[in-house]
Amino acid sequence: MKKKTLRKTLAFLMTATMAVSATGCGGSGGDSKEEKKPTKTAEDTNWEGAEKAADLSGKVTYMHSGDDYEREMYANVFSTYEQYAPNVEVEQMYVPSDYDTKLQTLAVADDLPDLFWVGESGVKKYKDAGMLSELDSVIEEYPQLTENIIDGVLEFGNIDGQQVAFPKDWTSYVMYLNLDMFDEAGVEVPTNDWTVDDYKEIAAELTQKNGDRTTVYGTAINNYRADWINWMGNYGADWFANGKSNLSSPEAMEGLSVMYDLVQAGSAPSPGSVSATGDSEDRLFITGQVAMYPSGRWVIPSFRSECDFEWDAVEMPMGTTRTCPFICSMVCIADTSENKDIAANLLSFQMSDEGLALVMESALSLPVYTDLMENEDYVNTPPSPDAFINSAAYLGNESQIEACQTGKWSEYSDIITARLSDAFEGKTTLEEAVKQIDEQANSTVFTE
Amino acid sequence: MKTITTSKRGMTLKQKEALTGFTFILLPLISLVVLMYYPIIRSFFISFFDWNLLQDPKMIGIENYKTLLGDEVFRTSLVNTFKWVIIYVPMSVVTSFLLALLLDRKIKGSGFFRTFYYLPVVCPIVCVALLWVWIYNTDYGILNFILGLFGIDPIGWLTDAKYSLVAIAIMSTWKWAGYNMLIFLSALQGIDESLYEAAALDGITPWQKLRYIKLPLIMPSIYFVMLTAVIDAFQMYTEIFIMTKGGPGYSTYTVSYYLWSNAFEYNKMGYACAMAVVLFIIIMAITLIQNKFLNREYDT
Repeated sequence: MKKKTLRKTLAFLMTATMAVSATGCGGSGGDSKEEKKPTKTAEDTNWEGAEKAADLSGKVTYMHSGDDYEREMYANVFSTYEQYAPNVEVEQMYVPSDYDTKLQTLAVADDLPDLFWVGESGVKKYKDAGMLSELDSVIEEYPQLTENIIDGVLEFGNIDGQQVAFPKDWTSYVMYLNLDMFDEAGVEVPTNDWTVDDYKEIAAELTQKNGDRTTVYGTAINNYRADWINWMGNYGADWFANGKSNLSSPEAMEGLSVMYDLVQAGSAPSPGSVSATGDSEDRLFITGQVAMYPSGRWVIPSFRSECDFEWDAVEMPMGTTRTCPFICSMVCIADTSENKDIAANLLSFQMSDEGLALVMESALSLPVYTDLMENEDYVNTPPSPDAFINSAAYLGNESQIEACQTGKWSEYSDIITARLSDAFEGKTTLEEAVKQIDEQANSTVFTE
Repeated sequence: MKTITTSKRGMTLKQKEALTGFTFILLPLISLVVLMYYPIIRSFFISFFDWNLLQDPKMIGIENYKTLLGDEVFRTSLVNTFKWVIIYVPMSVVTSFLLALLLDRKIKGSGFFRTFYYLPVVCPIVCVALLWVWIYNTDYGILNFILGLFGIDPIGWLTDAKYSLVAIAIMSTWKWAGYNMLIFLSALQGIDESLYEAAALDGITPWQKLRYIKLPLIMPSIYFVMLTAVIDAFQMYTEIFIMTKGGPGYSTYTVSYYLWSNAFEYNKMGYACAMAVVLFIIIMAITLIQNKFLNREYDT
């Protein structure tokens, strides 16, 4: 081949390669579809939207996050829905990481999926941007959506009196116990009515040392919103009120000092020392280095498959009262969706007994309906379901709702994380840390 | 008589060659303009807006810059970034230079050693950072274990604000030293042997050889390495994101990390762009200063 021809060919190949790569970047990330299942009718289900589903036709896109297991789980939900709606195609957009960035990019590009998840603290931001369709009419059309719904869960998706996001599930916050360690140490296993004092005492008893080095911690704490909200709420703290951070209130201080005291006493590792191992507190529980671990229901699948010891869960210890943080992804319908009818119908199916059964089997989360909370097909074991069922009675609190609905939770949360981290690592006292949090948050984030 | 070769389409040979050349540079040029220069100019404009990505930007003049002046976290991030540059750049450049000097000899297996020292450069930064997180583990890390053999108490390499930046700098030096080592090595091997021979006749010592022959002759490479190392150091982000997430507290927040948080976590794109502009000005000023002093050195 002559040199000139070779150069031209190379230039052409380069152009073609870059063009093909650029085309590849624009992929939707949708999953290939599974084989079609046989059609189902309204007679096969108690789901109220089945008849309408049969008459619908078109395509909707559903975007969600999670792990690969959840991807498969929701693929199953969508294919089951398509059995009732044979003329509807659901395109699944699974985004395993950087979910918010992807969602924002799609919003800026005016290419939002018809349905998508938003965390409970992000709803306000997207509502203000005009991205979310109202769901009041959907709730009116599908009354089953709110029948027997747990008190308070709708509030997180209700902005300025308008429902714009629907809680697809929730996760309780409970204390997981390594029962073998209790047995070995001869310590009585706590019951749901235990208190913070009991907790501190047991944590100290279960902590094991080898010389100066701690080999087993009695418990662990997370420098994470669920822990803060739980502990502050357990002392009835109004930690966020009138649009301002109020962590230095005596009740909030008392709640946060539970975490602080456990670290100071050596009964729990500081969160920084755990993250510096590249590990997480739940791994410490799984590997038998922590005896009691507070967390949500999402850890259950890995505990079931990886814990080679007996374990169970009880309610979080009681302070002066009890509060369970509301941690959830809410389902929203895009305001720009051209298939809102199908999107609403799919949402209604997802929240039906049949739709939720396909999701709750995994034990990653809990149904938002009181009747299903009592049903062991939806709240399966292990661990014992009582802690989860009981916590529905004290789910969420005003401070959490108010803080979430500022639309500035991420920024606020980062300030709390950084300042509390200083306290947990012994760089400042807890009093100094909460004072700094309030000053910094109220002067830079909540300025209005 | 002048002969001009033309093709069937009436193009001269020169024109055809130019066309081929332009075809080669066209795509990189477009990429550079679209992916580099346009965002730079655009981010300068966005810095004068309040923009959360989701809603229309609102013009607020220099408000973002005023806010930056009073932002304590930004100040901390800026101080940490300067600390990082002061710690990391000399550590990295000196290590690379020493490695290059060691390998600039006719020894057996020099190829092996070059590959050996270059290997960390081709390892993904995520893997390297996670590996070092384990090395630095306060309770179980090998580093504290070795120090313990000498009776030294465990150090919280990544959990103690006193050590965290130094610890990350050591990791980054380990990761990137091989890259700059190659640049130094090629410069050292480009020095004419006759200079060494002439100097040997004059009875030059190894130190004099380094001071009066090697250093002056590889000054362009030192300048290049220093320049790129400083620019890279000011933009350090990945290591922080993986190893400390800016903690403990704000002790490892850098401007790039804080900028990213503002842009993609807090949706304050205008504010993040203002930080980017400030960072750009700082890097530009330092580059010009470096250019004035280092560049002059080898020009003369």
